[in-house]
Amino acid sequence: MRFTAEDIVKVIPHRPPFLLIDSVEIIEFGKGGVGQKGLVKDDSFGDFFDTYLPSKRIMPRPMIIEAAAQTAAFVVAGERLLKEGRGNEGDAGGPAAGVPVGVPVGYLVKIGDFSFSGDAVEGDTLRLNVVLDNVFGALHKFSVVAEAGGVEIARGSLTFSVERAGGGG
Amino acid sequence: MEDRNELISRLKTLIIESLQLEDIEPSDIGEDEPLFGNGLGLDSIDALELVVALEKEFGIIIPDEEVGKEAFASLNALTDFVQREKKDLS
Repeated sequence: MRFTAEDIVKVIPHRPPFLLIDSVEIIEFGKGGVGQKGLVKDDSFGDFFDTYLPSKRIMPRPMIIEAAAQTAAFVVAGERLLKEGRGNEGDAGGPAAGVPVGVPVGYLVKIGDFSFSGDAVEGDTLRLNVVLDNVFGALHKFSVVAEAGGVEIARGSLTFSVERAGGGG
Repeated sequence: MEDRNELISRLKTLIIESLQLEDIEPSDIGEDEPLFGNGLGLDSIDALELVVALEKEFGIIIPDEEVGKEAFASLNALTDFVQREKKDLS
């Protein structure tokens, strides 16, 4: 099942220009999914092409990891939060309007064995394949494979500490 | 059935390799000292890595923190746990 940016912002607090995925294909909520980002210049994301190695027109590699992290957050929290309609709670106006409130936040605690074999270039579609490998207490470990233009460009693992339900954030 | 001393040695190697403890030798890991906190000094992220490694190596699943707390109390406790779980699997 495919979810658009409209659904994503109901689940994760990231907003442009730091919302780095524009859709997520869910394989199974709580298990895995594929985040997608069209690397086009005509949105706020285009700033990176102009200001980070401008002659190469590439997405900064650490931001690929962040895009994967946002995908993983949606995979873990999406089902429950969309069902509960929690995204409307923050609609009080101001810069944080629509940001989900009172929901558990996941903090990235480990980037494991990440290696890069290529870059995501302007015009590519970036795909972040994330699979939940293990959960232990609050810790969630995902394996990640990133592809751009249909070619694998990075793989590694990400571990998050997810706040307990009702733990603020 | 694997001898207990062999299993202890295998678990020491597993801990060192899966957690990439480059400065630790197998002989540095006391069999009764706590693996976490003041003992070997492991943290909760290490615990998750160890859970993953145990599942990969032995097919043993540590389902939650309560079980983990018991299994990771010391190397001896972990050895007891693995022996018990392996018996259940076989």
